Amino acid sequence: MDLKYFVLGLNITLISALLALYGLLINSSSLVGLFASNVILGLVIIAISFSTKEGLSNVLLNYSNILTRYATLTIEEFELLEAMPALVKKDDKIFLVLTNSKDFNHLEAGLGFNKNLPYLAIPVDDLMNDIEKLNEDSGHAIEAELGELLTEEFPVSKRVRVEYSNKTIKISLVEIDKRILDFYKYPLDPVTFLMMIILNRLTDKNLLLKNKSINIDQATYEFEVLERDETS
Amino acid sequence: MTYVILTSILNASLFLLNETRVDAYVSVNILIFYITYAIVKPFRNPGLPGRILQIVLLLIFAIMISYRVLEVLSK
Repeated sequence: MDLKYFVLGLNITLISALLALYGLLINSSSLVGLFASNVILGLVIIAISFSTKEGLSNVLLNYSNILTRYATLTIEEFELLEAMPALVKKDDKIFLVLTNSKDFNHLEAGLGFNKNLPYLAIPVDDLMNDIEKLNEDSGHAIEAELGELLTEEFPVSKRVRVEYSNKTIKISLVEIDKRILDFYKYPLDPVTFLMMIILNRLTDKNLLLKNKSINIDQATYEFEVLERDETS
Repeated sequence: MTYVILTSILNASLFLLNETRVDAYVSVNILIFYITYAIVKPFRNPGLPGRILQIVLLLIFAIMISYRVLEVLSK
């Protein structure tokens, strides 16, 4: 709850209610109407005060910033700065993997080596389990669902566009929230992380980030759909 | 912000036009709320208070419109 909005809304409501009452007493319908309208304005501001989560989002933003910096340092130590993240389902486990190789066999959670190449595997099995797989395998269905999640549930942008083919999924986040633009420069930014997990949940496909670009307030991410054979 | 500006314009206009019907002020205000809500989406996640507000406003609006429609029909 935002106390500033709450106090403002409460003041407007109370003062308007009193003035509407005064209007009733002096028998002025115009005054009653005017201040009854302002009572609604006050109520709307009170409702808004309950819906803002500015404080909490600031805490999470700073926490994400710290974690991203730490992860970047680790990635740098393991010479994985150029590696693109992949989301891979192995048996019943789902990993977010950073590796320079395309061999996703023998993955264990954490930092490790596969055929002398370092990898970082983050288990994400239990994240966003409530997102169900889509019945329809189309760009339109993905755009509708992903759009709702990335604009309403996890508001990172105002609009989402999806171009889908069997091999690639291209996602454009239009009017991206300026506060998360800072994360863009890191190899494992939270938005990519979030989007890959959601896409995996919706399509049940293994994904590899091929390219990401940013243009003022629009970020574009291109994912390659990995064949199951490539990952097993 | 958009809603506050539009509401102020509405209130000032109706008051200067000497509008005396209380429901005219309130119903147009509610209408402005829903229009700006649809365009601006002030609540990304409205939560319980937001939902209650929407239900209450819709009820007030429906009652006012029904009253006016009944008034016209009964003439």
